[in-house]
Amino acid sequence: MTPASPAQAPLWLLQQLEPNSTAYNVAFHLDLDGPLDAAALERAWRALVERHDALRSTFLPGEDGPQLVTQPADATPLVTVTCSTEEAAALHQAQVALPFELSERPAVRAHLYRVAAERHTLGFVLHHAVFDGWSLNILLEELAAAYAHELGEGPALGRAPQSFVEHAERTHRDAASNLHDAELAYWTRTLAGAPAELDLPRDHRRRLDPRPGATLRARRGDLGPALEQLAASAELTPFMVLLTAYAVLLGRYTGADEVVVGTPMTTRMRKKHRAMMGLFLNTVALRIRLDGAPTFLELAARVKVAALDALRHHQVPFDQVVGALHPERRPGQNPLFSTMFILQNAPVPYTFPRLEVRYEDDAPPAAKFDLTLSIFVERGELQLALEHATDRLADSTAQGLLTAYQTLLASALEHPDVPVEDLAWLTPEDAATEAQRWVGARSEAEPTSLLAAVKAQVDLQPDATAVTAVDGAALTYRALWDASARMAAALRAHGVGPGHRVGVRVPRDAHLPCTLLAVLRSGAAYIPLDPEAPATRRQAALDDARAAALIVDHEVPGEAPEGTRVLLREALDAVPGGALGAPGLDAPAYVIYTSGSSGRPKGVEIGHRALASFNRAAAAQAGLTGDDVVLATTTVGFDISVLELLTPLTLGARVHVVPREVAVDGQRLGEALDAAGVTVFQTTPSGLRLLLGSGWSGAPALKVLVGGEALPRDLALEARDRVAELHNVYGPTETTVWVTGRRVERAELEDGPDVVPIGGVFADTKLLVLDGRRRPVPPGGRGELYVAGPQVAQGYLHRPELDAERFVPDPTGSGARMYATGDVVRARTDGTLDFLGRADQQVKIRGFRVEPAEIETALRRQPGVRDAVVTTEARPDGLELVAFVVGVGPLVQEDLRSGLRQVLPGYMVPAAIHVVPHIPRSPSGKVDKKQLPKVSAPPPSVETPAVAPNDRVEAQLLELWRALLGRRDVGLYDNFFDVGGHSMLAARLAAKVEKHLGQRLPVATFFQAQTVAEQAEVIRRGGAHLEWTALDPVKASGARVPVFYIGASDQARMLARHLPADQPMYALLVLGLPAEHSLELDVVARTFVDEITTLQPEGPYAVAGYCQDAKLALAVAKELQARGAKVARLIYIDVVWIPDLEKHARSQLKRNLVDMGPGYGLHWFDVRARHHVKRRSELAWDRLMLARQARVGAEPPTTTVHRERLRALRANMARYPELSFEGDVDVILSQELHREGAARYLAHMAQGNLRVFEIPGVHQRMFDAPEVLWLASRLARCLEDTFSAADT
Amino acid sequence: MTTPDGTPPEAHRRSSRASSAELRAIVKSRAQVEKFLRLGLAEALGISPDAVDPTRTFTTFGLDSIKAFALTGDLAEWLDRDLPATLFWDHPNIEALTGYVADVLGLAE
Repeated sequence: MTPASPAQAPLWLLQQLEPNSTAYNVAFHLDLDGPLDAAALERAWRALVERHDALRSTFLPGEDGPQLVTQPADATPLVTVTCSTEEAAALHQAQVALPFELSERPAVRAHLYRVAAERHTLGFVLHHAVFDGWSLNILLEELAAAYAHELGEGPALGRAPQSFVEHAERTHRDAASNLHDAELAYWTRTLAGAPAELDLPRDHRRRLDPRPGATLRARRGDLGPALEQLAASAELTPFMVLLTAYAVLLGRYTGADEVVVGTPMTTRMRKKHRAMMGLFLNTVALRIRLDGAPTFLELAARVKVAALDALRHHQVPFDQVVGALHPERRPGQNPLFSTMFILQNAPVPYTFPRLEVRYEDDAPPAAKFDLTLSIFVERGELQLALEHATDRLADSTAQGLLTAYQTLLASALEHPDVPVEDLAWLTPEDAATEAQRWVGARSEAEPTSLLAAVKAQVDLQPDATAVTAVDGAALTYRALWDASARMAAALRAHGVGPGHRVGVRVPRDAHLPCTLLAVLRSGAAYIPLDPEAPATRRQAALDDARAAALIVDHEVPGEAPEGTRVLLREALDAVPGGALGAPGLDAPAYVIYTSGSSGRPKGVEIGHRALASFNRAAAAQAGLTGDDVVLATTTVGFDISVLELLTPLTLGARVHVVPREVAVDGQRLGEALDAAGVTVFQTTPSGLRLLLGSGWSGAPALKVLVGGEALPRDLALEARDRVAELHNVYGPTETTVWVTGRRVERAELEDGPDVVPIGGVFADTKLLVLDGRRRPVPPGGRGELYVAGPQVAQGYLHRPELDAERFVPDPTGSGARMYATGDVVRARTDGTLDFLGRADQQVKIRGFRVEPAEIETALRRQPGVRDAVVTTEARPDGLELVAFVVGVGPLVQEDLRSGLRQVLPGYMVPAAIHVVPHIPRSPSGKVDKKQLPKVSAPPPSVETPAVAPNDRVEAQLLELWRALLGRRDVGLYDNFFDVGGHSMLAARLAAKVEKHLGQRLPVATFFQAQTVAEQAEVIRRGGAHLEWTALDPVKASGARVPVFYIGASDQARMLARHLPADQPMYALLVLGLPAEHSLELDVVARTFVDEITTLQPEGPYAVAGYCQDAKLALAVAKELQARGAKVARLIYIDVVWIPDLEKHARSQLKRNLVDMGPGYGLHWFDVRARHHVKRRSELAWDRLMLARQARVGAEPPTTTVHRERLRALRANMARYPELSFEGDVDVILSQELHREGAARYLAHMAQGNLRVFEIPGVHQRMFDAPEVLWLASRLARCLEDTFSAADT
Repeated sequence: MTTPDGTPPEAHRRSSRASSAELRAIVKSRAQVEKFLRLGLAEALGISPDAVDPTRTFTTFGLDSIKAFALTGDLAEWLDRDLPATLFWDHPNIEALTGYVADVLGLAE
């Protein structure tokens, strides 16, 4: 038994962690036609197995990492099977998909399938831990030669190669003796901070384990010669050229400016190694920068440098590199890189006498990485294989990548001197296809203009109600029409008419739609102005638009610029004289102002055709009819209000206008939806969250349109089943409200990305996803979204330079005008689009478009401010603006905020303004946002309705929290203990609640309800009925069989957070027992089992315990059995009971730990990180103390008493004589304990089936995020195995 | 592959590293190093040794990294001496590489 090589160790360990994985199965088969001497082939195979001990070695876990054990040659037989062709194919496929158990038998399976007298298939499956691409050539060459020799037709194989097992041991020793310190330093320097993750498309949500995969293949006979030619002329190797093209591909798909690609490097330098089968590879991670617009050859030069540097430092095992870098690990993600590129060795010629041989690779149904591209070059032909993880990428997306790679490569070989950005990634034919992917249905007729459509409804149903408002006001269609006519006539009398623009700044009442119609009927275009916005801002808009008039309900000084007449709406009443205007489709309808990056808002001019076209398409998309009642909640300053205020009137539907106070109050909004018979509600994700957060239970007949910002999946899931239809709509102001809409269905959401995709293009509209050179992107590719069609705006008012930038000709077709949205999307192969963000700095705050630059400009104009930068922070409730300012002297945040409020609308005032000494800038002068201080939870802005308290109780509680914690940046959903709360504060909080809210709550309440929202709920229910007992319902809901966790409540809570949603969990707490309760384990177990059986009267049960508490878990499981109940599984977490403890002194364990540190296995965690724990467990301790205190009330026991009790309990645990359980046991061991050799001492712990699982991490941090993910996922699988087996 | 003096490379292997004097006894001159490289390159690329121009960059012959790596190993074995893995990149033609080897070993012209 000798140690495996450093390259083998991680492959072995991965197989132990994921025993069902076939990711590292290497498989191929040979179809042999002709007369075959099976006996000779078997002898030939045996000769190979004799020669190459890699083919007959097994792995055993050892203290020093995995050990190789050489087995006799007959351990790896060639098995002959007689069967049909189909059976042979099926059997071989089954072998390919069968995982290896590396400790039981050699990782080689060879089968000869005899399907006819002269037709055979020779199938091989080997584990990569003992085999590589070069080995394949040796195997084929030597097998053919040995077979010929057995037939007496060739010489015997030459001298036997050296032992691979011995070679492995040598490399293990070399690595352990730290020969490679300097090389290691190179790698840590080169890879520090490199992005391990690639932002590749994600078609599926759930990450499966082991990862399923599929392999797509392509052959390109045309590219080989050009490849060799370019390589030779540019002093590159084909590898470098092919990898460069791959880096370009990854850059295009991810938008990243650097990529890290793994690649295997051979370690077969010496001739003797080249004769040996085995694993002679070391993985290296190549970090490739893509920035600076390099040409293909320039980029290839970077790749060359990286590849040669890697070669220069190739001797340090990859595992040591990983260990030295300590990359942050996430379950299921490979360290350092997530894609691999492999240039396979060219195959060698071999012949079997009188047999015609066809070789074929077989890919296992598994994926090693997100994406692995491997290429063979055989006689000038490129054979490409793209392995992709199918839990991430759909085949269609992977196919897009593979095709794009070939196109890019072909383009690069032809034009190596052009910037990589210019290289084509779609052939012209494919580009033409992709350009037609998002084209809406074409309407035959011109759309009916808004006014004509409303007039038609007036004629059709004059007495139907057109508009209602919360104050009870109502207008029929006829009244609406007449009133707007009188108002229009009055406007005309004031000289307003076609060609003019009229500001509208009136409250949200029943006459609002009428006012808008009146402006249009006068022939002018309206400028909607938000009454809540600062007057100066409104003035700027009116000035910019050179508005002829402004309609108001009351005058505000300083609002109207010179030349704009202020007209009181009430006074606009004249008898219509002649015919009013009937503006044509080409006339402007409205001008709406949005945030501008230059620091001043810009006016978007929408014409009647666009408006009419939108009305028609939106009604069709959402299925709006004359029977609908549409709630109008959105401010007129936001263009989506058109759908609420005007679109319904074209259909004969009713508009129900609610004032702003209702729109921003979740509870009142819910009431409005229920009361007014509303059937259609349009909102932003922020608004929807507000509504749901108020406890609104839903409306089964309601249609909800959500748009204006990215719709988070979680929110959509929460909303979906509460309403009849949920539509995700998308569209910039410049293309008239919405241009896409899709009904969102639960099934899609469940497997969908975090942000609900957009799609479902409106009639007559065409979308294009174009890359930086305005070419269509391939399936799965990312690009900017462009919109063409009748809904595209007429342009920006008086801003020709902006027009030229944003309204550009369609390069793929007619040259029609299209709008460059600046939204970066990914073209999903299911026909929808992933919204990825902005190409520029623009952000959406509660649906409103915000240019941070505009806020920065405003900030810099504040007195005392020298510099300012505005960024965003993601909060649970959406994005928040955060400003950093540099002052000339001291600055007061509140002054800045009130200053901003004078000039900016509320949504543009940053939630937090931080004064910093300087703004970090990159050498190019750009703000380096990564260097800005990390801000944790800034104070929620008072304008943020989503986090505003929903009622008095919440408001009061929130204030108490803030006072107590000494910080204002806490919200309704913050966890008390996460924002600085601790047990003493909880007790004081309880006292304050009693004083201010007049309600006495046990302190325990504050441990079980840990957010303001939860605590308010308890108070509303009339005080606590939460009782602290031994049984803590950590997570009571869920369809699965619950797991009873014996141990600390906070551990259980951490675990429960990451268990499947339907997995219930209960904790049993010793400190929940009355103070006088015995602490003998048997007695405690009896009490616990009483509690358990009260809750779940019948087995089978699952019981789990961690560390010392596992003894108690054992006692509980035994007690359950004693009562005749079935315990399906006892799960021990990181514990081992060594019967003869003295022999294994602490020093021994410590020594092992140190010795086995780096250099063995995979390195996820730093043992030093332990200090974390102490603080946390003390906190947990205090929590329990106080909980007890609250429960016993009058006589608070001292902490000392409790410490004593726990000490006594531990002593009882140690004395507890039982070690073994008469049933099935799973032991989940941390890597740390496992490395200490814990697995050796487990056999006595179960009399039933014992399973041992190793998970990454150290003992003390198993319950800390993110490590708890490993434990939770392992525990979930143990439970799942247990109960799915029990069912069958 | 054979060595310039016609014996297989294994014949030159020593249990311990040969001293420079011993090496010089085996490798007599730059010419032999050059011949070794020429033959090795020709064999790796499947071309005639006469077609190998000693001033031409290796990659322009189509020498890929795996072959270069193997040739480095062969040369190391023949010289019984560790050589850097990037040898063929650091000294990218026969002339330069021969010069490097000669310098390192202190060979005569």
